Amino acid sequence: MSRDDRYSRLVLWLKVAFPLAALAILSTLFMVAETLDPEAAIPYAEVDVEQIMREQGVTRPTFGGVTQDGVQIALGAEAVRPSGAAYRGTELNVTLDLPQGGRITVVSPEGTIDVPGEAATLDGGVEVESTTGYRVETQTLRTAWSVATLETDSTVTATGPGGDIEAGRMVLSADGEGGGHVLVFKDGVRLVYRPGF
Amino acid sequence: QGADVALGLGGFSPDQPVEVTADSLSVDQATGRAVFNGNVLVVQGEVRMSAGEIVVIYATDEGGAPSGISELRATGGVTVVTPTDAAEAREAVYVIESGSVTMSGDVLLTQGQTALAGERLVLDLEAGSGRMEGRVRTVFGGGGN
Repeated sequence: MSRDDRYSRLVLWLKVAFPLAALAILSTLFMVAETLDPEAAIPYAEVDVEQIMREQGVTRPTFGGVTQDGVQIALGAEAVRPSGAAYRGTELNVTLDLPQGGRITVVSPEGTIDVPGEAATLDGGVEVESTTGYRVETQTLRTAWSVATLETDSTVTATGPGGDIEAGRMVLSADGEGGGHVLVFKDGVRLVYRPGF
Repeated sequence: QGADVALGLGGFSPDQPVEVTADSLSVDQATGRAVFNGNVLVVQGEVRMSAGEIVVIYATDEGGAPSGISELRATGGVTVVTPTDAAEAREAVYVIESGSVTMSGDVLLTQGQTALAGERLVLDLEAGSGRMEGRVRTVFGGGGN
C-alpha cells in the first residue's frame, strides 16, 4: 500500500510543481529577451538623395538590339547622366555578336551616347577585343546600332595572332565573303611579326 | 629540266622579324582570315617582296589557336628583290618557317645582265640558292626589268 501511496502522492505534487515551473519560465522569458532596436531593423541606403534628384542619372543602363545586318549589339555603362540632347556615360562597354559567329567587345572609361541617333562615341582610351585574337587600342571610337558600325577616329595599335599592328584607322564593315563581317585596319597598316617568339 | 641559280644573299635567317606594310589589312571575323591589300610590301632581312594582295596563313598550336604566321600567299603580281637579283611572277608563296619562296606564273629572274624565264622558281633564302623549272629560257641583254 505504501508504494502506491507514495506514487500517488508524488503525482499529486507534480501536478502542482510543473505548472508553477512553467509559469516561472514564462515570466522570465521577457526579462532575458534582448532589447529590440526598431531603428536598426531597417537598413537605410547610404545614398545622397539630393545628388540623385539633382542629376537624374541612370545607373548601369543598357541599350541594344539587333542591327539591320543581323549583329546583336549591346551597350552598357556604369552610370549615365544627361548632357545636352545626349547622355554622358562612364565605364562604357559594347558587345557585338556577329551573325556568322565571332564576338567583338569594346570598353572605354567614358563616352557619349546619342539614343535617338542610335550611336555612341567612346573616348578616353578605348580597348577592342575580338574572338579572332586581336586586341586593339585607340583614343576614340564611334559605334552605332542602326547598322553595326565600329570606326576609330584615331590611329590604332593592336596585337594579333600575326604580331603587332599599327594602322591609321580601324573600321568594322560587312563586306567579307558571304556578307561576313570584317575588321579592317586601313589608312596604312604595318605589321611586325617576330618568328620564334 | 631546270636551272639552278645563286642569289646574292648572305646571312639570311628565317628568324629575322618580318615586317608587312600595306594600305589595309582586313580580318574576317568568322574565319579569322587576314588579307593585306594595296601596295603590300614584306621585308625580312635583305629580302623584299611586294604584291597586290597577301593572304596570311597562320600556324596553329596544338590547341588549334593561331600562333604566329606560317605562310604568306601573295597574288596580283609579285616581285621578290634581293640585293643583287629581282624575280617577278604572278603569284608566290613565302613560307616563313623554312625561309623558302615559291613563285609561279611567267617567272622572270633578273641577275645583273642575264635574265632567266620559266614557269616556277623555288628560292631557298637561307641557302641563298634557287631553282627555275618549266620551259626555262635564258635571256641575255637586260631582260627588260
